[in-house]
Amino acid sequence: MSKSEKKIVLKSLDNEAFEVEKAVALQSQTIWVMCEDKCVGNEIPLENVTGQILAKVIDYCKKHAVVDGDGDESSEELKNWDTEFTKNMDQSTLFNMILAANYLNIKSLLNLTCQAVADKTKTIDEFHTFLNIENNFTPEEEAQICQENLWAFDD
Amino acid sequence: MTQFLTQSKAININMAEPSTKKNMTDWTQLPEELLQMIIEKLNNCFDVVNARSVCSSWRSLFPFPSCLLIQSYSLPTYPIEKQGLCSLEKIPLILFRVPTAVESVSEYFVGGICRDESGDYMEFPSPLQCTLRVKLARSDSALQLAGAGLMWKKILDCESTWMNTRGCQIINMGHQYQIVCWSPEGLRKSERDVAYLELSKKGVSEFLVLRSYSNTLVVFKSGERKWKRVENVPGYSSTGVVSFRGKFYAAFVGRDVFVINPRSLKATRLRRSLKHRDAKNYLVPIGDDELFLVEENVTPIDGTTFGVFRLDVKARKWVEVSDFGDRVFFVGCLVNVACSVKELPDGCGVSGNSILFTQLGLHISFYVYSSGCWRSSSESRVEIIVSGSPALAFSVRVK
Repeated sequence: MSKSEKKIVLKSLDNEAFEVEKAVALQSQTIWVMCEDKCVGNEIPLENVTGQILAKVIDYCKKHAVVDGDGDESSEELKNWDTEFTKNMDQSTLFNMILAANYLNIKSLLNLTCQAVADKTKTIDEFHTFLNIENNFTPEEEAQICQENLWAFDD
Repeated sequence: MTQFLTQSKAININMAEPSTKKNMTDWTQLPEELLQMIIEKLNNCFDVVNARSVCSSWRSLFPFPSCLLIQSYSLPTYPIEKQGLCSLEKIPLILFRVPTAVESVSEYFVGGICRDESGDYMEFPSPLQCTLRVKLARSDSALQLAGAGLMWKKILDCESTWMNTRGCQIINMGHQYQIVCWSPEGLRKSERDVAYLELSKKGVSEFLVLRSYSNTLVVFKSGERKWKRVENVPGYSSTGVVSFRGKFYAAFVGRDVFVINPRSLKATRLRRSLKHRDAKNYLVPIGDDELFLVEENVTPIDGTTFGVFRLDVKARKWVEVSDFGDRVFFVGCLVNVACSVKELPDGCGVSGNSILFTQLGLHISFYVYSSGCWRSSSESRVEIIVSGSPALAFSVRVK
């Protein structure tokens, strides 16, 4: 097999092309299925992912491909890398990463990004501010929720 | 200079524009199954309740967590209360681990929780947020909690603190049953020495409640809507009743544990081979998987010694064990319960295969099995802050 056959080109929604090792790209079940399909050549168009997000997805896949390949890096190290990877992502990036991970069908990345959102949003205020969701309850509904959310040890 | 400022301003605007657009991401537009994935990754049931309180579409999308459901069923009064109202309540049993300002110290609260009707939510800075009221008998404990760096708010002469569930680690320990009685004068009284089980026969299901009161055991069957007294059990007070694999078990001071057939109400003594006649017995069921008995003996020669026994259901006898896995038993006051320690962080002072006796001031450590018997653990020091009603509260300091 020549070297070029081991590579694959991923093309983003905004026509950005990324040449990556096949082993890296095949972590995506979606790409794997596309590659199986003989009709597709060496270039795979990804119509739902922007270049900016795709670059991040590829970073993730590269890191995980290496680790899965040689098994030298500890799972602890990988975990730390994952934490750093999502730590400073803003909500818009996380949103698009979740959609991309879902579209590309990369389970571990989908888990990681969903977990990152869950970790960043613990209080209702955080849901409202970080995720930019509006509180659209009526005052009556809100009063009912407030009462429902007050707990005590039963005496 | 002016030109420079204008330029830099222009750059700022250009840079700010896409980021404003970015902030417009509408998370309510995230496909439902992906939103569901995020919610599943929330730490605990209170986080889910919080997520339900974010907006109306999320409220209809996420069901209320079943582990926080409170159920109530009205019962006829008998045999103690002749008048008034009586009901069976099923309430969530939760363990809260609260980190304190001192890294080596954590505080724990174990108890059944209900909606707080006495509180005024308007007092809170973010009233929608899940909050737990902790009413403690000792004011110094309240002060100690106030130092925990969480959102504590002392009210009512230091007797009540408000705990934001956010800073806590929360372990759901199932449900607890209790009988709540209201006298005609409106006085409320609750009893926790209650066991519940469901039976189904030919597709018809009914539930049964075993209640221990004073020197009697009585059973209520929902099909007959009547209380019946259990015969052939000792005429002195039971120390605990539980249900396990479709049968009731009642422990008595001394050697006896009786198994009660729920259909016939026939009580049978379980065979035991124990050393001590005056032992205190605590029954600890682990769902329907295993039933344990913790025995506490006080003898003039040996002091206090302990034994742990597991029920061999087929042989109908107790087998002494030295290892009951990744669980901690809380026995003594309130309820005897087991909690899995898998979710607790390493080095928090609470480890598996250990027992905490929760009587106030009696024991100051967990008991672990070493060199042939249950011994006081030297790894951590325990202070029981409140034992019994309304919750068990203790602090653990790692040595």
